[in-house]
Amino acid sequence: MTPMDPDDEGALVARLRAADPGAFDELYDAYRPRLFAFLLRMTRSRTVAEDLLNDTWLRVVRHAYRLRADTRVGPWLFTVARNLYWSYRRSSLVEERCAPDLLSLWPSPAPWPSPFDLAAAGELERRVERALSRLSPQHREVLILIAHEGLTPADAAAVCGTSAEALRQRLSRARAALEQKLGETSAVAALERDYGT
Amino acid sequence: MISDDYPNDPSLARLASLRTYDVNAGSAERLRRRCHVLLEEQASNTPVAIANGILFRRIAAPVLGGAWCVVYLIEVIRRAVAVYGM
Repeated sequence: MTPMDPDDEGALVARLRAADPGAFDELYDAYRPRLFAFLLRMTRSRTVAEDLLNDTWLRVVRHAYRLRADTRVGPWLFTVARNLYWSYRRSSLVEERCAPDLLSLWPSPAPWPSPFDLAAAGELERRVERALSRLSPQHREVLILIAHEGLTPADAAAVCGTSAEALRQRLSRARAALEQKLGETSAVAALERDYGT
Repeated sequence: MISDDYPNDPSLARLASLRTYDVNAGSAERLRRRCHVLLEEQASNTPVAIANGILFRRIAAPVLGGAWCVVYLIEVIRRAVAVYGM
């Protein structure tokens, strides 16, 4: 996450508080894909992720007037999205073991550069996505926020509602779990290659 | 896109290179329009707008009404004086 200039961020927050549609559009265009990707990886369902994305932005609009002048908009948006995800998860009996086929994660109009890139990069990326999807949601969210979204540990801790130290420990465990899952998916991939399945 | 706190971590580097997804353009636009409608409603309910409404109802309206009454009363008195020649 590229940090915004504090003055720019303060001005954006002020415009949001005044319900300025231009400020909303700036935020919406910059963060919509990132929030959607975050929610997609957390829910592992495109439909649920879209619903939660809608709820996230509607909640953002409803509560924007209450923002403090020093609010960091990026972490705030991820906090809103994360809270909605955990509310959804608590209120519905999500069966963790029934992960949908990860191929459904690919966007419909896939902008692949070439068939070679599809084969080479796609395989590695798919393995990483598969390993990530097999982690617990607590491990998944901390890895996505820090590794993919580039939040600092302090910001990620604020988003997750925990202390920076607890988050570092959780991140350490999440990295170990990811490595283990990647090892498992590599072994499965090797077996599939050897036996042509 | 890895946080500077973990510059050389291979596990995190793998995740950093994952793609970002987005909803389709139609859904994105529908949501944008819905939010704009909500923003318009919000604009009329912001603290500034509410404060302006309170200011008018509690201060400006009584002052204007009072001033009009005073002017009217003075004019009535002035005409009465003219009629009765006092």
